[in-house]
Parts: sequence; C-alpha cells; structure tokens
Amino acid sequence: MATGCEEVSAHMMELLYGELPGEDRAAIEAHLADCPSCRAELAEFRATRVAARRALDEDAPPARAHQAILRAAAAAVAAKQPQPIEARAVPARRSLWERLRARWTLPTFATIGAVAVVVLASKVFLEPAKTVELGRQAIQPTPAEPPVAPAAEGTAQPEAKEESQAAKQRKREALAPDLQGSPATRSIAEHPAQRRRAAPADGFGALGGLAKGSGAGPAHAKSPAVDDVMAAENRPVAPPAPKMAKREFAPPPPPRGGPARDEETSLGDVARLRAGKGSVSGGAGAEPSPAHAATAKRTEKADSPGLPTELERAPAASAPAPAAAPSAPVAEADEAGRAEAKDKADDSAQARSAVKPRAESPGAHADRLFTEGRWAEAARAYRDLLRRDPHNAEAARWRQRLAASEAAAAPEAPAAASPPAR
Amino acid sequence: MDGDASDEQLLAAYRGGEVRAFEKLLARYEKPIWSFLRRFVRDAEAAEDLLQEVFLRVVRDAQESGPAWKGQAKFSTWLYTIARNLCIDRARRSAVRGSGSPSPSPSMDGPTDGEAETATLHERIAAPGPATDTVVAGREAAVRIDRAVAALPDDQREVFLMREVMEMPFAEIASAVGVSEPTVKSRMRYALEKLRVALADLGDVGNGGRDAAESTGSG
Repeated sequence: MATGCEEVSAHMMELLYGELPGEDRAAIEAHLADCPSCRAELAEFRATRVAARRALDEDAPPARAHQAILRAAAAAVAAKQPQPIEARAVPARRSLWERLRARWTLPTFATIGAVAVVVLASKVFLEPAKTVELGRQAIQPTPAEPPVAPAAEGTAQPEAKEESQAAKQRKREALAPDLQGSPATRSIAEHPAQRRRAAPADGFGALGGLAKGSGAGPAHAKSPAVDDVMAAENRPVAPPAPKMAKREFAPPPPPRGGPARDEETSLGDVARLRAGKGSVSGGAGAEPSPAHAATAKRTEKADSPGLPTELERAPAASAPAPAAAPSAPVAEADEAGRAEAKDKADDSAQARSAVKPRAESPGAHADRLFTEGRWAEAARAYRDLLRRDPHNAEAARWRQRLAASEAAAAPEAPAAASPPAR
Repeated sequence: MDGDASDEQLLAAYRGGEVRAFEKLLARYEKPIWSFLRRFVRDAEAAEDLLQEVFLRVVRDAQESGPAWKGQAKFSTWLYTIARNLCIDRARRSAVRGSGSPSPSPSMDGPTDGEAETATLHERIAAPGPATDTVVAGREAAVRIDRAVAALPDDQREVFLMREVMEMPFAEIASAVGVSEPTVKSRMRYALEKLRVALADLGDVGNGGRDAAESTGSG
C-alpha cells in the first residue's frame, strides 16, 4: 500500500519522537526514501528540536532552591521519625513548666519578697511610737511583778508567779540539766523565795527577748545572760566592775563563791547577796523565814554598817532588784559570800544552781546604787525611773529613796559615814 | 538503593525515611521541572518559588498516611501535573490582579491562533543582529530560543515543554493536560513550526535540517 505525503505529515510527530508503531513506521520510511519534500520537512523539525534542546539543556536550577528542598525533605523525615515516649513527652512538659517559671514564678517570688520587705519596714519604721512603747513596757517593772516580801504582797499576782515558775523551770532545764535531779536544786525550786525571784526574772526575760528580737522561754538558754552566768561560774573572784554599773541590762552574776552560809540559806538570800551587801539585810525584814532574818543580820553586821535599817530597807527588798542583780553587785556578793561560804560547799552549790540568767532592771539598778551608798547615782536613777514611769507600783518607794539619796548626796562626807535619813 | 530504581521505588524509600532516595528523585526531575516552570511562567523568581513548592508538595505527600499519589499514574506525570496546576493557579492570580503575566489560554489547535501568537513572537525575537555561526553557537542562540519558546501559546508551549523537557509520551501529555492525544500532537506540531520559523535565520535550523534529521531520526 502506497503512503502519501499527507499521511506522512499526519504522523510527523510520532515519526519525529519515535512513537510510530512498527508497521506504520516501515511504510512511512519507505515513502520518505522516495519523497524529498517529506524528508526535508522531517529534517527541519529535527533541526528545530536540536536547537531547542540545546537551549533547554543549558538551563540549570537555582542552587538555593535545591538546598531548600533538600532541607525540607530531611526535616520532614526527622519530624516523622518515631521518638521514645520520654523524648516526646518530657520536652513538651518541661517546655510548659519552663515557660511558666520564666513568666510567673520568678516575678511572683520577687513580688512576695518586695511586699514582705515593705510590710516589715512599715512595721519597724512607720510605727516607732508603738515600738518604743513596747520596749518601755518590757523594760519597766510591771505592776504584776510579785513583791519580794510575800508576807506583805505575797498573793498579789499568783498567775504571774506561776508563769514565772514555769519560765524559771525552763531556764533551769536549759541552763543546768545536770542539776535537775540534785536535792539541792529541788529544794531551791520548791522554796518560796525562788518564786519571788522568778517573776522579775521573767520580766527581764521578756525585755531580753524584746531586745534580741526573740521570745521568752527556752530561748534564754542561748541568751548572753546565760553565757555570762556560765562564764561567771568559772570566774574565781570577780572584782567589782564599775563599768558594769553602767550596764542597764547586765548579765546575771556568777554564783560561784556565793553568800550561802548554811543549809538554811535560801534562794532569796542568794539573790539578795548577788544584788548587794546591804540588800540581804534589807530584805531580811520582809522574809518570812527566821533563818533569813538571822542570815540577814549576820550579813549586815559583817558588811555594811552604813546601810539603812531593816525597816527602811524593807521597800527595797520588795523591789525586783535581787532577781535582776547585775554582775558588779554579784561580784561584791561573791566577796561577802566568799568570806562566809567557804565552810559550806553545799550552800555554794545551792547558790550556783539558784542563779538564773537575767538582766538588771532600772529599778534594781537604782536599788543597788542606793544600797551601795552611791547616793548621787541612786538619786539620778530614781529620778529617771519616776520620770519614765511615775505611776509604777514602786513609785512611792522610789520617791522615798530619791529623797533619801538626795539628802545623803548633798553632804557627801556624812552620807558616806551614816545611812541617809528619811 | 541503586541508580536504576524507578521513581516509584525511590518515593517509597523516601516515605520509609531514606532521604537519599528523595535526593535521587530531585536529581531526576529538578532540572526539567525548572525548565518547564521558568519557561511556562516566564519569570525566574516566580519559577524558583514554584519549583520549591512542587517538591515540597511531594515531600508532604510522602509523609502523609494517605498520599495523593498512590502509584496509579507515573510519578513524572503526577509531578508535572503538580507543576502545571501551580503555574495555572499563579497565572489566574496574576490575571485577577491585572498583571501582564500571560495566563494559559484555551486550547489553540488551529493555525489562526498560532498566527496571532506568531505575530507576537516575531515582535519579540526578530531582533536584528549578525547571523553568524559564532553567534548561533553562542549565547545569542540560546536567548533567541528562549524567547521563541516563551512566545509560544500557552497550550502549545505546555505541550512542547512536556514533550521536550519532561520527555513525556503524547499519551501521558494528553492525560495530564486533559485533551486527546491527536490534539496534543497537533499542538506539538504547531509549536515546532513556530520555533522553526523563529529560528529560521539560525544556521542549524535553516540549513542544518538534514544533519539534525540524521542525529535525531531515531529519537
């Protein structure tokens, strides 16, 4: 079958691109062999293809797109890779927590801290009057303080006594636990004089707590007063320290070489001995125990002929001075007691165990100055007391002593030789 | 995986996490797709974006549990379909924005449409200049060919690029474009005729037809 030029032209694309079936291809090739025009047409198409392909082959894709595609492909595979449960879950949870912490936690703590600082600062700096008032209340002897002489004011404040007893017990446990079981300690703890002495101690304990920013109670075991007591126990003989008189809240005196003279020496005696030579005799008149009276008489006889009489000194005994005796009078008491207590080691032990950490109150300080015959200083101290707390229960006595001190201070030479006239 | 692996095998390997398989697929089709895109949209920058988009779609499809390409058609046909659809979408967006970018025109199988485009083609590529062998062999020839291809009607250029760049059989082109196979062959013929006219002053095309026929006769 002869193949015409139209048929070759109709199959030109298949012929050009090699898609012509075998039987058709043979017939067309036969026609091309005999038809120069069809052969020329085919040649032109092929030449066009060659030229076009030459340009198309020079086209190179941009490297930037190539790299971007490869990165995307690798990232997609990495994201699809199965991960361990921990690796998938933990980062998400941690991420959330870290975000929360970064956004909220630190600012929250910072805010809380700042608010706390502001509140504390306002309490401290914006209410100075209240703070000072609290300090004064703690410093000054409260009306609830039990009197030294239970015969006169014995049951005035039973609650305060009980609290003082409990606080005193706590202090004793903290200070000398090894003495708890000793008979001497028990006897002292049961002595009424101890209760009398404990109340002022508590008052100063509260003061000490205020001064240190800590509360009363067992914390006193770590207070400087306790440390002083413990140190004072190792002191052989503490000389009178004038500078201690300036310490308003001096640590308690050392009990070593205490003034206990016999087994009947009470805790109140020890305390009075610590407070001063004359205070023992001064307090004897208020003591209910005859033994105390005898002891006081002996002490008065040995130490101070110029001290006030017992009746005159009775108010002084009711002051909280013995309980808050500073170191200086304690040292003097040590001197007095050393002369008397050498014969009785048990009494010394009793005295040591009875010594409790406490600071001297202004009232006790004034009383001590008064009993020591330092009239000018005593007068100043009483004046200061009356100025600061004119309505105190002890105010009347302070006024009496102030008058006596002033009277004695005026003629210094006679005052030193004789007790102040009241 | 060796270099003779089919496109389908390479894609399956990439779905299994083998990135190297994707690299081979990219090496096979990056250049023809690029040539197709660049000449179809006639904007190198837009063509680069579309090139990335074409292969990113392949990446995303390979990672999905229900891939769009499931092996019913040849991978090359599916790849070209993606590229072509992206080009058409871009041309439509450009037409909406009123840009000068040409949009794919309806099938222009008749010579009348081709003549209209030929006029535009002549305007674009009939630049005066030395028609020497040196120029023909050089860059000028490539530029003129690019211009001639760019001047083809969209449907003819599309078929021409699929055939010459993607080396797709006419049947696949017809399937991808959605027209009959004779229509594809007709568009291809018109495209080649226009290119021949446009490159008539070039030595290879003008008088080298016989040599070209000898070299491409078996293609």
